[in-house]
Amino acid sequence: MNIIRQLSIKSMSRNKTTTFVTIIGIIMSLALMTGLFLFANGLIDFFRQDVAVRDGDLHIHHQLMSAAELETLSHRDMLEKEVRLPYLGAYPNDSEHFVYTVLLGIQPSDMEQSVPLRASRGRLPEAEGEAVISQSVNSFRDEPIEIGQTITLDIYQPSNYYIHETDNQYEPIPGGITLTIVGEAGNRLPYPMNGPTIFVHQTPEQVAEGELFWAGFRLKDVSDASIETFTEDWEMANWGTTSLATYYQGVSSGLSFFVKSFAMVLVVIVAIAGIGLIQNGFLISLSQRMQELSILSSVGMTRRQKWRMAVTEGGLMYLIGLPFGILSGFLAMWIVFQVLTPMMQRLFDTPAFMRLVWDWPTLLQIGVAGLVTVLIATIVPALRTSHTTPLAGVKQQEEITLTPKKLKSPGFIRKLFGMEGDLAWKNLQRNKRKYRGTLVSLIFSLVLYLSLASLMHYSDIANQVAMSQGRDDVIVYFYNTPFDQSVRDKARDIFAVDGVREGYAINTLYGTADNQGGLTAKTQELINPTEVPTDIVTFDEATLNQLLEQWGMTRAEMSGKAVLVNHYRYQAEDRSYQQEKLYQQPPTELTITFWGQNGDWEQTVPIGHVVDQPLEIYDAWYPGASLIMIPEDFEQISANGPENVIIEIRLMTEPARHVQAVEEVSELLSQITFSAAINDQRANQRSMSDLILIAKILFFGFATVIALISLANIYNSLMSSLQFRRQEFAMLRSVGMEEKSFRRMIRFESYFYALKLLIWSIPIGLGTSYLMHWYLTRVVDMAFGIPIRHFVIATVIVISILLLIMNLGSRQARKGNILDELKLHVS
Amino acid sequence: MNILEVKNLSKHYGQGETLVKALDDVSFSIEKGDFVAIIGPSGSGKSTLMHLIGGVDQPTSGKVFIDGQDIYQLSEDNLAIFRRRQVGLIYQFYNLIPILNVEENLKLPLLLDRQKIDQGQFQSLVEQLGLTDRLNHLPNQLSGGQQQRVSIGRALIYSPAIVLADEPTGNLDSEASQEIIRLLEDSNQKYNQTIVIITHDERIAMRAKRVLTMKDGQVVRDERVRR
Repeated sequence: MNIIRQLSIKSMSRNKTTTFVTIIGIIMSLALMTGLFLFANGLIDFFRQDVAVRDGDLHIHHQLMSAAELETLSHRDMLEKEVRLPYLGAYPNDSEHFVYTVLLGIQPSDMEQSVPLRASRGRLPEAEGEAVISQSVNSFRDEPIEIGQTITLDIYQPSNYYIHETDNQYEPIPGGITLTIVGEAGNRLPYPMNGPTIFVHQTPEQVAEGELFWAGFRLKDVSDASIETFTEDWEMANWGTTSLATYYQGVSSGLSFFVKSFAMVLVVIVAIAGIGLIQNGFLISLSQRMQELSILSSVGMTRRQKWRMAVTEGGLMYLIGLPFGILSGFLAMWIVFQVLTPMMQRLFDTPAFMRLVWDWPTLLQIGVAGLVTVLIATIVPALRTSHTTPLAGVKQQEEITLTPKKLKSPGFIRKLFGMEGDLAWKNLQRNKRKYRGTLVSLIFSLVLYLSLASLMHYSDIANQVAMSQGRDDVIVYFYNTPFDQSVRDKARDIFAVDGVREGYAINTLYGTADNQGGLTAKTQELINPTEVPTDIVTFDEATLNQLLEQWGMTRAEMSGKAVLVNHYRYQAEDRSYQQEKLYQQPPTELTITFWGQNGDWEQTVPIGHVVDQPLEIYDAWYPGASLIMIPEDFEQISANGPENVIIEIRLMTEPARHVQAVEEVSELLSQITFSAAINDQRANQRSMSDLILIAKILFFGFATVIALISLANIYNSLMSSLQFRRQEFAMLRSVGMEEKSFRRMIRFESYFYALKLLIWSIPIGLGTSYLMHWYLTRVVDMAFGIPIRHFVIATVIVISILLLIMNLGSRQARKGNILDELKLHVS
Repeated sequence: MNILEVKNLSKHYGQGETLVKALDDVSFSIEKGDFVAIIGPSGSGKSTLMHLIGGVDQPTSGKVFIDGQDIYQLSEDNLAIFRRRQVGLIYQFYNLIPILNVEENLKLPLLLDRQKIDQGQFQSLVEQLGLTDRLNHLPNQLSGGQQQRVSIGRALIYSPAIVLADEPTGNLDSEASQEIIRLLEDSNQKYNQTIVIITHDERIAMRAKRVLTMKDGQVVRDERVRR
């Protein structure tokens, strides 16, 4: 072994603690980098699985290929899988939108994975002669096909299946086809199957006999570029093929690029923290060996050799850390994925799961990122090493540069904290330069933690605010229907559903009014004063009665008149939410223009009462007027244009019976004849909470590892500083410093260090917290609040860790033999 | 009156064949106000004896009484306090605290004891040491002789029962050495300060009142110096 490597190994084994902690830092950096790469890959894979489950696992499809064309495909070597669905024929539709309903043969395995068919009604075909219809088949038939019906269809072989021309030539296929329709496929299907299509069960042998096919392909390595290469010879590539990679986020190169770029940014942050730690470790080792290096200089070691020695040390530590780092990253991500999978499945409503996806290029990227980190980290120490002169070991350069001014402590320090505090302060001043790197890395990780904590804090609040803006758990919308007795009965049925604890109905008819009163100056800025958005609103009986009681009015007093809610909210240009009064002087009546299919009409509504505060259950979310009326008047006005009425049934549910209640409400809605939609607010909130929780796990996991790397850094710095000062400690003990005083001094040093750290970190953390608040208030209105809990946690952890390290590091100096410690200097 | 009594003091390192008797059953006593020099060849046990008397090392056996106090009966903390108040240690390599200036280094034992400093006494000591214009300097800004003077001042500031100096001139030129010895003599004569000094230099030893000669861990000669 050459002398350089020998010296490197000996020095590493002599500075065991520093070497060990530095290697731990390298392992953590590599583990985090591995974790980030694995997470990026896992996330992309998760969405790909999701797409595969929903839309099939094919990347490219071609709607019309002959068997001969398929056999002579170029780039077959790029294929992982090929799927063929033979064209069995087509029949002309009753409607002219789609010319044909196409019959495609499909084998059961392809129904599962490649062209997934999910039966929304009935089941999937299992035997010969069975078929499922796509959802649109019946839309193009005058006489719908029933599930379970056996039908014989006259089918044809068109000259071209997908040219939408009515005069298309087609030949009848003798005998037609007899099928038993066993179900309806309700899921999204790839083009052109999203049109009217009947999927007929076929065996693999039957498929192989086909002549014309819908063909699908899965590539081994999917990207926009590989799809382009694979399809470059296709004549119909521009419109006859569809690449899923460009359609669905899950496999899009754009998403992959975004996720990987984000991971790379985080890898750079890890690398910065790693560089700080490794560099510090090397610098410590270098300082400890100053004398040795100067001796090597004096016996003729060249700069180049000294440089090589430092780089060799870095390389050796990297080689030791590499396998452990990668393995730790894999293990950590496996655990993270186990935790995340159920949440992700719930959030995205998918059976896809997070798994470790890796390949050799990924490992190579991790290895290179780690190596670059270590090499950058060794540059400064290697430069310093190479510049060590034979004199450097004799003179302690650092001590020579000390001046009383640099070490001067404020008078109050000694008064308050005694001699021990003074010594602690001076020592901190002395090590200012040495600690700078560590301090910066700690500030960095603390600010990162505080920023992420703030982001999560505000996200939580934003979620709560967003959800509390409607106190409702479920909102049901009825469209294009008058608020007549049948609708009221339906609302009553919904209110009576088991699990609904409270509910109310809001019916709105939208229109505009001329400015017949004095709009406030702000309102005039926001809207066109000649077209004030004005809605007629009514509620269900119970809610209306409550409001009448609140306003001190009777139903009779309100008859034929409206109550004007002279108040609205709006989103300002900076996206923050503001409240405003509408009219400075409210009008006594408003003439409102409504529009509808049968033309516009006008209605003058007298105003009987004005309220200047928002209603608890209703408020306009844009600058405009709301006129509350009794249901009978509302019905009369809306009769002219029921298509403009939106009825909202707002429900508050029992948490334990929420899911059941939503199911029952959905069942009730399936029985109505007009358009309706259901919005499960509670489920949305839960999804958002899940998303925030996932983000919390990831962000805090990331911040924790960064903090651990910084911790390793501070451990190295403080321990080495304490080692350097062992002789000094022995001097203090020899002149009579007892252990109690010694401990006090160490404690003060920890406090001062923590104070310095917090003085920087907390204001910067508050600044980033404020920036996040400022950004988020553009979306959700919320007050600025400091996540005090996290600031306290950070402070307590910082002080505890510093105390622990300082106590550990000074143990030898406290307990060791004074004489031995003094001899350290002499030797 | 004996200020120091050493009884059957031994310090052994290793075991069996590797046993080294650095100090072997040494007994002697020193009276208050005496100025004793301990001489002997390298490895004779001088420094070991000094460190044991100073309470910075533990003996294998035997006792050391300073001003009647068996110092090895004291707890760790009490021994530290005893050292602070009753023993002044001077080392060859000064052992000053690099982050404290001269004034702070001088006052260190008093500061550790939270004692009020008699400014008059302090000024007189500083003048005696010739450090008046160096009080705000750090140790790295002083010459070797000046650093050793600070070290002597620190040893004397508490008027301890005994001052132990381990080759205080070993690292200094002859002029600085003379100055250091003169300082020790002054404090012995003016303040009746008991001083024990370890030296290789026979000329320095001859300036003491009593000389103990050590060899192979034992005191082989104990004689009064006649002037």
